[in-house]
Amino acid sequence: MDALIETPGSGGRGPMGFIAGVFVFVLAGTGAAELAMPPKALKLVGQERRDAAQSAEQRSFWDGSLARSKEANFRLHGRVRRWLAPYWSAAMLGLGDVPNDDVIAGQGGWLFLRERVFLPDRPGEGNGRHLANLMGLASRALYSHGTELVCVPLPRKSTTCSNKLPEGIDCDARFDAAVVDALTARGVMTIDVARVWDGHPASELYLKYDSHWALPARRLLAEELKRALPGLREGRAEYSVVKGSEHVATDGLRFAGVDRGHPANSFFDAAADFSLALRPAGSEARIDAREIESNVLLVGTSFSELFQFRAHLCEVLQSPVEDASELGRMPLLSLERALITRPVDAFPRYVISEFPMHHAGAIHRGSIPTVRAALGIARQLDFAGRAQALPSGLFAPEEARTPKLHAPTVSYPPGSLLSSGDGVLGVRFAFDGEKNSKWTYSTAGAKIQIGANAGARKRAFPIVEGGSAPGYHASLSPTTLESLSTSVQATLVTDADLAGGFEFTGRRTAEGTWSAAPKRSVERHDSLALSWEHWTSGPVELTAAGEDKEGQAVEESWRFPDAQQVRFAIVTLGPFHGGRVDRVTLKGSSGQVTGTIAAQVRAR
Amino acid sequence: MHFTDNVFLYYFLPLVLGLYYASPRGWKPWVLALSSYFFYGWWRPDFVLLMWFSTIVDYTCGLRIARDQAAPGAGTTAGKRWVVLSCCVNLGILAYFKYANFGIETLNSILVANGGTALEWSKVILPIGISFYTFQTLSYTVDVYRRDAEPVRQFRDFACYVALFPQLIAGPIVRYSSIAEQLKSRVHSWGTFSTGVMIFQAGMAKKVLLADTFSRAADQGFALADPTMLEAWAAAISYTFQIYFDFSGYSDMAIGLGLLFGFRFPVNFNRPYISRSITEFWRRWHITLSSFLRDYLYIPLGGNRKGPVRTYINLALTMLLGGLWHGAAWTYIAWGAYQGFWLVLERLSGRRTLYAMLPGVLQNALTFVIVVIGWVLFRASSIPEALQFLGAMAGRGSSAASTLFIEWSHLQTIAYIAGPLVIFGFATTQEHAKRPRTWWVAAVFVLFLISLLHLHRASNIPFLYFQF
Repeated sequence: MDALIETPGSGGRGPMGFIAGVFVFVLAGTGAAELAMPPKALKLVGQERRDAAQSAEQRSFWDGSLARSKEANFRLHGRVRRWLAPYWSAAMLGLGDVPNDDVIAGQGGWLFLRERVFLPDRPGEGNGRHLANLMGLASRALYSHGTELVCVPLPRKSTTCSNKLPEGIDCDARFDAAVVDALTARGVMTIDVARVWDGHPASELYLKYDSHWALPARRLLAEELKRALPGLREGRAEYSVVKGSEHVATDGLRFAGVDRGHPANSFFDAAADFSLALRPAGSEARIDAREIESNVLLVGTSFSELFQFRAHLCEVLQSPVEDASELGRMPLLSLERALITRPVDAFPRYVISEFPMHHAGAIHRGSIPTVRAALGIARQLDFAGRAQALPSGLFAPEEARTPKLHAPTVSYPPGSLLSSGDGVLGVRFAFDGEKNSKWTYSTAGAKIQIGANAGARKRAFPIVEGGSAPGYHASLSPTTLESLSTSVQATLVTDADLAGGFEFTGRRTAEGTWSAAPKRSVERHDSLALSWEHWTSGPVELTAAGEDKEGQAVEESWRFPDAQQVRFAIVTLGPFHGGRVDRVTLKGSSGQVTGTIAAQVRAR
Repeated sequence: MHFTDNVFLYYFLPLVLGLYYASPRGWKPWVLALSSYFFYGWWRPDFVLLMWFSTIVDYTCGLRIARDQAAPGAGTTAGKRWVVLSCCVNLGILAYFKYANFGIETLNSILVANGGTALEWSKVILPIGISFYTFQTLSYTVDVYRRDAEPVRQFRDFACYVALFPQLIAGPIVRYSSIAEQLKSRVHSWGTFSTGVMIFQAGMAKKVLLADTFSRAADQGFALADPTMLEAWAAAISYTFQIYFDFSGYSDMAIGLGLLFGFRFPVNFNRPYISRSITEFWRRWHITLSSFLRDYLYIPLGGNRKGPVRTYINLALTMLLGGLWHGAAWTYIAWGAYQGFWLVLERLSGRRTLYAMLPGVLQNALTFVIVVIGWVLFRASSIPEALQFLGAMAGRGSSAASTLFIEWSHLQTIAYIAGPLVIFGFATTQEHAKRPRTWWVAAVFVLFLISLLHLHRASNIPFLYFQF
């Protein structure tokens, strides 16, 4: 027989009896209060938000998810969580610990959001190249209308303040540099903010308990924009910034469980920040209402909106800057929204697009809103009208197909469309049907639903690559029965002016590599197109060498390892902008090759 | 439902306590049984049916055994068919729900390896706590058959015994004979209640503040592809502490809850890590399982009554099945075999012979190391992973850089100081509760309150023994 638990002989008087009474009172009282007066739901972030979303989705009685949902709801929204748990979270942070995995407690109490330190690992995707392609597309679209897109990817807190991370953490600082390189390679004017902030202490760059930037960092960036883009400055000498009310940004603490406004926030020595206001008073509203004409549009995220980056820009540039930044928006979304509201002829001369670097890691083929925004910008800026048809003989003929739902009606198979993936190549669909039809348009970088109204309609889409293999394809699949009775014809197009471009030829080496020396100066968004005589399959590699605008030697390669039935390739020459292309080589072609360096087709 | 769920703590427990103490004496077993069904069915209502089935079968078998034994001219084997039926039903249920997946997967891997086609199979979901309550109901019919216990006459008492929520999910394994009298009549006093509260609070603090803190290093360490020697040992020792605080914490909570309703459950842990041999370890670790295996497996197999060779075989077989009881995986079987090996070795050489040359502290240390190595087998997800991890502990890892300690916090340091103190330095919770001192009562209450706060922040980490 097992020995049973023994209890003290005496009664329940004294401290133990008292504690037992308190125990019952605390549990029963808390439960009764929750039932009688249900607390309002808390606004949750991070893991708690994900837990709440999951518990809201699964509410079956039989598999227990309803029960778990009740438990999660109590844990996440109950009074103990609301009133008392933040004190314990604060105590944990004080001991260098974190109450959940959303945050990393760094040195000296610095807080970092884990998902921004360790970016999601998506092989072939989310590595910044996809966003660079989308930005390249937007930049080309804007430039065709005379507007310069200036990308300002803000380096992560973990890379710029790496000395505040726990020792030994590798936050992959190369990612930030790779994004800047990728944007530059697509010909997007890009500010290398890491270089601007280099040498400044962490406290001047980011806020200790927040994921946003500190005031000196904003000033440094504004000064750099003024230096890098002299055209931004109007020199009116009328704008100044004044400090408004004090506020403390502590979203890191919030992710760690110390809710905004909770008294436990007072345990942390968060540096005060200030809301900023532009003088003359009311300038912001007048600029945004376009009562004051502005040549600069700022689009971006909470970094701009919450921290009044526009005010700094106005003061430093002495120019009116329109602010269309929006809290929590992924790149390009606020730009698309800003463009929709204005006529094409009322675009500003410059668009400054700020986004935090971790967004680049989050954009992939499945990031539908961002992909849609980029394609929407191209549409708004008349890609269909500007794009010129490419000779059909440059692409392998399509097989005839019987239309089937969700199966490609039009398909250029993987490896058949060789481009730099930033929208220099596109596809135009001519629909003709008696009813409205719906389709899925798919490339390696986009999979979106599109529609065509009844009648004869034309729509054109730039081809964006997502960086994931297999790429270099495009297809259109019907998704409704009405689509099956709609005819569709596809034509490949480009917004490069090949007809008016500089044509050149070269010669083939003994190893079969074709080589040419065009020695041609390159302007922004110029493209290089090569076509060859015979269809080839297998690896194709295109290399251009020359100089950038600083006179530095540049070499850029585009590799297509699994090309299929190809005799045409087109790429943008971003790195050579302002410089020239001296030499072009092509491996994997057959027969005579013709090269063209072409400017972008501009809006009429 | 977990004991650490808010719904349990703030709604279920106060409500059931209120109903229990407000109800007349005859209704109390029904209150406990019905609330236990609610407790059990909270996550999977359909599994309550399985428990009812098991309850009805064993209740009926118990009565039939008693009837056969009371029949005129009944022999020593009277009622055997009913105990066999009970064993078949209980072990059949256990085998299907717990081992069917393992069996089919093993068979499929053999089939595939020999060029065959794998069998189609939908995974069976393991009902929580099934290992514990089937053992308990089994103990009832066996005890009645052995005439160690009277058959229960009131169905409500038996239903209450099988479903009793404080110990339903993860023990301690309460044999029917241990609480047969308590089912009929219990003493309710504020003193017993207060003791229960203290033990419950201590158990919760052990689980939430210590076990869950140790689990971080353990989980991170075992997840490393190539741990360094230091990381491997840190993770293994962390898991050693985690499993103790987790399981003994649960047992404390169960014992404490039992006292709230007037039940005195068996003690399940008695400072196991101060043992000086594996034999002693098994007298201190999961005591109710050890004694169950001894009384219902080892002794029926012949125990030590059939010569030394049979004794060793019985010992090894008992531990092997004990390992398998924990889960359907080769790692648990290996762990059981490992424990059996040490028990046989100690029996073979004589405990004194094996350890006599060492001073007491080294005996403790050696036993502790043996236990830690055993937990690696227990924790690893596969035998190759366990072997690789043991290789890393032996310094065979190829990694030079350590990543386990990068996010180490002061709170973890506190836990790693407090944990060993609790394990090696202090008396057990039960000993403290027997002679409560004001400082202990106050400290436990404060730690309990902190645990309540902690539960709202971190995602709940389930009790390790829930999976068994």
